[in-house]
Amino acid sequence: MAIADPLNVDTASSCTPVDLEAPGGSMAGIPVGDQGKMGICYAYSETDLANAYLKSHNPGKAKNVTISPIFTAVEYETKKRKDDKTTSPETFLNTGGASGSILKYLKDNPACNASQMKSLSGDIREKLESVCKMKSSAPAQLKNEMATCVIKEEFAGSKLDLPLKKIEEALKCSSPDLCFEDAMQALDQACKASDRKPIPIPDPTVVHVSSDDSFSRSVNDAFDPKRKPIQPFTIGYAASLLKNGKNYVGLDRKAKDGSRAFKDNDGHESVVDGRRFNPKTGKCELRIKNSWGPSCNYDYSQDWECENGKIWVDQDTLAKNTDSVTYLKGDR
Amino acid sequence: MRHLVIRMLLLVLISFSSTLVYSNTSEIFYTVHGKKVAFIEDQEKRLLISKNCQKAAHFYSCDAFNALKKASARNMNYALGGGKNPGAIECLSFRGAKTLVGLDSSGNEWSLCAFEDGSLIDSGSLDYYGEKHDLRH
Repeated sequence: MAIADPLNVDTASSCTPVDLEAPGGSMAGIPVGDQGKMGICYAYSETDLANAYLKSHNPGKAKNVTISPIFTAVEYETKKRKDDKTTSPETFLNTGGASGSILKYLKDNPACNASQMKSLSGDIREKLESVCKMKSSAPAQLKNEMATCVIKEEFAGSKLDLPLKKIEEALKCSSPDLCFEDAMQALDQACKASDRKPIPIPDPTVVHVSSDDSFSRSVNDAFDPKRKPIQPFTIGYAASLLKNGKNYVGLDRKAKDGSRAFKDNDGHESVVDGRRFNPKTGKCELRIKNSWGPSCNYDYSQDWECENGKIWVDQDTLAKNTDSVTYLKGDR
Repeated sequence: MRHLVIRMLLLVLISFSSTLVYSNTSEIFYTVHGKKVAFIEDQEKRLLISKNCQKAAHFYSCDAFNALKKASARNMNYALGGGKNPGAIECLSFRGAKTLVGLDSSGNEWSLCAFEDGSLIDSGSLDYYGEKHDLRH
């Protein structure tokens, strides 16, 4: 463990404490999510940003509004598939997405209030795939009803009301395109246009981090105390940093192919909602709100302190492992 | 004499199991599929496991507990795109196991691994013991 330099006042003074989960903070009361086996970290982290912005800018009306990350990811990826054919069944909810994409989607597309969507079993992908596997000759209405059941069970906690096994026995395989059409129709039924409301958020600021200094500037801009209420931001970073500790460098900034920038193919996106100066290490630390639930049982490095699934990581190490910062600017 | 030896062996076995597991535990509840389920938490051992695994005061036996001895995080990186929870992916390597999400009283989501015998374990515990197991072998 490093010994702090008591004369290092510059570091401490440029590391003003931020705790957005404290009462009155923009992240207060927003629970910790767990993406389970789905590759939708970008949806979990960015819906948190949207929820924080809504709650802190319109606390009365938006008090009970919660945008569902899964619902949003299913809609976003399904529409993406329809529009530009870039999402395939193999990548559906499986491989992540670009930083800022969910915020841009939410800004342009009215969403449903997901505050009642509490019962999540985490295997929606499998269930939707079972709809995909239906025989192409199966009646479209039946497939649509099944997809609706999946959506209802996942998001509203209701039980399947169709004899699932009998349907599965009767059906075999179908084309992937039909599945996405069904999923879209099912989503439209589960969240009707009349129930949708615009999400009043500004355009997201997405910064490509080109150096450690660039990271530091982005953090200071996102946590600028002149902007009130202060908003959280997300980082695109190498997840192995959480397990490997302070000497890990998982990002190759010189990589020409962006997807190979993360040496261990471990690109992850999480919310940052706190900052503190650690007098024991003499380091400025940022609090990462991971989307693996509140458990601290994971094999996180002993270099980091974990509290309810949120991990304090020093800013210098984080800078060497982060390739993007995304935030919604508050009002100056 | 033979009975005495068997009894002593049993005692050693039980005490060995208990040292492996719980020294300082607490009971907590999560809502899983609309039902409240009791769990045993041991922060020191980084373990969160369903209470139905507890067969006696310090004796635990279930598929979830057995999985801790077999868990492995090797060769998993390829499957972790999009920031997937590593414990949830590890869960899928056990036959018949599937991932679930439990909710605590604050609305936080906990990824759980559910086994065919009805036992459950937290994804974080599975990840931790998987990594430790790999280090030893």
